[in-house]
Amino acid sequence: MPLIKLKNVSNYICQNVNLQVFDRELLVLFGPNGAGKTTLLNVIAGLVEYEGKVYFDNVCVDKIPAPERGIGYVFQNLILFPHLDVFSNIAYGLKVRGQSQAQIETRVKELLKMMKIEHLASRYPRHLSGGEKRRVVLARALAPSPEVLLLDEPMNNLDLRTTKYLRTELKQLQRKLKITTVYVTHNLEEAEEMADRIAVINNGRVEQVGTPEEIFFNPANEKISNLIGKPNIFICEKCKDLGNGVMEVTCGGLNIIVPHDGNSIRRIALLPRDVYVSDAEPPGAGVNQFKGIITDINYNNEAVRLTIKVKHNNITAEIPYQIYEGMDLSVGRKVFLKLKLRRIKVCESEDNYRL
Amino acid sequence: MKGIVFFCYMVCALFLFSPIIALVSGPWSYVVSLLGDTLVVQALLISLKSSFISIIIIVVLGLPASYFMARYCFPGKQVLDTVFELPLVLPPAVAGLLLLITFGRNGPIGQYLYRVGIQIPFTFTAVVIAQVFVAAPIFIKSAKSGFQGVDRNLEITAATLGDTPWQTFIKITLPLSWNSILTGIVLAWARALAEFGATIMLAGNLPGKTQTLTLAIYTAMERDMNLSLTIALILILVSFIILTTLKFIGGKRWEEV
Repeated sequence: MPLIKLKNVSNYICQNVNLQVFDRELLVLFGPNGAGKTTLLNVIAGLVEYEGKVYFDNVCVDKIPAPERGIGYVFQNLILFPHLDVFSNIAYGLKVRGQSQAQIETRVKELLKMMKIEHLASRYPRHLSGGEKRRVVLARALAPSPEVLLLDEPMNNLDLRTTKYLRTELKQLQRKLKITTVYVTHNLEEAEEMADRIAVINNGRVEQVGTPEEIFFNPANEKISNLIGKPNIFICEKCKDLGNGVMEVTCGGLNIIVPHDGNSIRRIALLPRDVYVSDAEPPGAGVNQFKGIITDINYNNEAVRLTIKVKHNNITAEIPYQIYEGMDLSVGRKVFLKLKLRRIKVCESEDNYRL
Repeated sequence: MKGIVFFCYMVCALFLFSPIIALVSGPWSYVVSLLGDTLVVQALLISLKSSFISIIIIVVLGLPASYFMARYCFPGKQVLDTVFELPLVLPPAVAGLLLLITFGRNGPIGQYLYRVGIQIPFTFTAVVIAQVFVAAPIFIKSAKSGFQGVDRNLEITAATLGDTPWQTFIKITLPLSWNSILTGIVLAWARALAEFGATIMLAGNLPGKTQTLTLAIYTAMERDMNLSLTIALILILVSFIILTTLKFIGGKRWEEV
């Protein structure tokens, strides 16, 4: 049964949005900045005006004000109450509900432990690092045991290492608490890693909803394909299990090594930025290293897109300007390319690529 | 460069400190003996009573008003907001004159008050009205900037955690703007206590009725310069006590934690 249902929701940015968030799932709202992702969260939270209907467990909540919707909301800019220490920040939602001092203490300690911030209890927000703040904000949102958790770009402006660590932790936590979560991000990698399902949002509309694999291998239209970075999709003719979680697939005459442990692979995908290009032959016998000829060069805002013909495949590669300028490339030139092994995505199902 | 700047700094400091020198060099024993003078005692009581009532009125009305100014918007609000700043630039004597006309027997408001038997000019009420008029904008300005300094997102966050708007105001907005509110109270109180021009125009200078400490200084000058000095001393003392008390109430500021 879907826990959250949005029916024909419209306002200053959302346009006729229909969306369901299932019980206990983590739905990622993915899309570019200004697409309306945060506004959708605010609609669910009851913080902005909208037309249409929002249901929680089939009960219409349109008339229920934000404080009574039973949601935990983590805002993008990590809003902590500056005049309260970490303990009081986490206890805030519990005090409002009139819990006893003993109950509050037990619950806050539980959360401090869960978020691994017991040592920060008496600190004030301005003495916390970005990662610590995130943990406190999350603990505060979770303290009143909300039925729905809304996270707005929770990993923004955080260094890569902390992000990776926090992502894993957050995902585990969400599974453990079995809390229905809506997670906003504009980072594709983050979306894929976190999501049970992804809803692609653009210009206030829901463009497509599906598992990360569905979105990646079957983008519903050109716009979505662009949003996810126009991946190279290869249809596999043959698939050989090499053991140790490694398979070799044959696509258009190329033998590509793929880390995969499971059924045979039907398609693989790789983003253009995960294709390395060089004008000289890299030393050593590289895995997934091929020779090809440039057939097209496209300049866009930040990078250069090369179309390279390798046997029967046209592979798109994307390289930063600085690197491109140092390489002397032109149409018709022979280049070496290497497919980043760990970035290859795998699909076992047969659905046709709709583009 | 440094020498010139330092010189100007010292000149300013000496100039601003010079009145204190006058106080120190005064004939102390004589000044203290005048503390019990009826004029002094009466004026002190009137000043304390009127400024206290004024500040209560200013806070009770000004706090919601400044919150409204900081948080809400409607067409023409900017124009209306300037009304709140008018008394800041208006010379007090002009303010007093206009108030006198307004509340006078034939004034636009005064005529109706007279009909129901209420007389404002030259009463204690007039002292309070004059003080509220000149001091309220100072408080409202300070409180407003305090409210504006509180991130709206903090209030929204409190709402998602289950707070009603009133709870949010008491637990989040008020503590975070407390310093500005307190500063507003101190400045407004000081202004009310110092009020002279508007008071003398609207309330007159009636000993035991409308004569505040500042007015008493003026009156005492004609009798005995040292009596004026005595009152000045009391004013300084009262101001100092109010300032330190309010600072003490302010407690530790969260910025310093």
